[in-house]
Amino acid sequence: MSGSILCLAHVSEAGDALPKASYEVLGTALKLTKQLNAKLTIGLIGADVTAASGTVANAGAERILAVTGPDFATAHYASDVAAAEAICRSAGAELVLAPATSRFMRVLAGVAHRLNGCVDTHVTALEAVNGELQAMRWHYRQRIEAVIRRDTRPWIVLLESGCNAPWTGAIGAAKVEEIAVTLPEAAKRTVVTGVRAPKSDAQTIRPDADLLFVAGAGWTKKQADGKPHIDQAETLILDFLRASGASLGGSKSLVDQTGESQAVLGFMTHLNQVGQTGSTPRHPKGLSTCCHGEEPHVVGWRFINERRAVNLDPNCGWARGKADVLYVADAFEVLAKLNALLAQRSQTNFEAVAQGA
Amino acid sequence: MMTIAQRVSFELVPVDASASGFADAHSTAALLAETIQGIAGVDRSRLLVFGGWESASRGAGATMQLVGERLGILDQFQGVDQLSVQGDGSFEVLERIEAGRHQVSVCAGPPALFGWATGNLPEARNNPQVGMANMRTVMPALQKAKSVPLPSGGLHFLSASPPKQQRQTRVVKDLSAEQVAQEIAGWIGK
Repeated sequence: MSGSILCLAHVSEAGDALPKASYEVLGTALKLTKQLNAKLTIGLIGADVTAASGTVANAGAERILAVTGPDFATAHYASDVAAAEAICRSAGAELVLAPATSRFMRVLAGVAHRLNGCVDTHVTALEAVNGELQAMRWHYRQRIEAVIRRDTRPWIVLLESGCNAPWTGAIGAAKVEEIAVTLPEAAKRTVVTGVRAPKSDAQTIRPDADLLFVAGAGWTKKQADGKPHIDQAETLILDFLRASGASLGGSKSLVDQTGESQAVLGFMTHLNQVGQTGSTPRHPKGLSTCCHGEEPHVVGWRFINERRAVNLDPNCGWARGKADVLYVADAFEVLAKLNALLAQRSQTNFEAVAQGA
Repeated sequence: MMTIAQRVSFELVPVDASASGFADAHSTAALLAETIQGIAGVDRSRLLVFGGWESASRGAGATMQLVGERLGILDQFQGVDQLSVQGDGSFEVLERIEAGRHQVSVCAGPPALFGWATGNLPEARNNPQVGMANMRTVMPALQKAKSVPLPSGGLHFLSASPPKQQRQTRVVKDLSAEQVAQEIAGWIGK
């Protein structure tokens, strides 16, 4: 039983709202608040939370707490852990919910330790069953699904994105209680100097895309003429990503080729890897091509709703039973035709807009 | 162990405890921190702690941070792909963040903790001499490893099972590339 729930968030990089996943956490927090007849507090961290707090002003929280100032503008362990600790202590909540952003994944375990509490990450659902809180999370990287509960409080739970409905409401003027946090010199030894995009011709990882395009190692193998066609594969895939707005994932065998000095797709890095030792992205749709491995289909696709695959093996054991549709076809040919269709559709849409104007 | 021992010289400090993915991160971290503190001659003010970030088996997402807190390390980095030591002893760290990007930070120096991701360096080469030297100390260390039961830490598993997700896959064999492309284009556009 939790009498008090804290929904913790940090401002987005743009500074005018919260990350999308924070609104999903807020939706879950409101659901639990109702189920447990609890009180909800919202805690915010950022250089300036004025705009972001307005987006949650009408959520129904009893209090909105914030730690603000230039020291809390960037994601940095020593400052974030101090800010989150101060908010948690002020809120006195038994349950703390937060989005599993890279910023919070870095620090909230440390906060749990400071509060003599406990923490769980990779949680996909939280339910109150007979007044008892139960969390669903994955172990062994999306291979085993477990339901857990904890005796220790406060319990900090980091919720994965894309698993819960986001809260939406009108923007308002929030009454924010500022908590003063002064960082010691020891907490200023690290300075965040910026953000660097991976070495690639184009940005290929788009977490908010509707479609995940997974490329397998088959793209770099010998084709029907007995030769690999890396350049053609690169062009086809990049053209498809541009035309469809899809995010790019790669199988482990494909991204590992970079480190093994084999012929590789120049834009593919370990950051693109999906599967057990890569990421498990969340997109409404997924299209895999030239991919025969277990990991992309079983683990990497765990949270992809609609799945289709293109490969030359009709008996591919990992596509069968995991994909909704398996097209037995040459991915080079299919993608070339698909790119032409998408380009044609884009041109038609452009002309329609131009005529309407 | 045999693979690593042939590549780099090290002192092994083993603890015989559960390596299960279900072990509680808090108990695991407490044991690791206690073990690190017990290593003779370790200068905590110059300590750099490295560990796996989101390993395939454990992936608790919390163990390294808890170890760092217990050791009083305030400079912690997770999802690290690159570490470059600068001329003044500081180091530049690249941490994975959303959308396939890296956050760049400069830390004044040790102590610090790193949850390592993949990086971009090749594996060190095998060196039989290094392997032989390590074997002289590794085997006795393993024999002396103390066995420690990990407490549950108030964590209760109500259920644990592999997902039973099985889809009825429609296998399409008889369409031309153009027809497949049209079907996929229609599906993408829905």
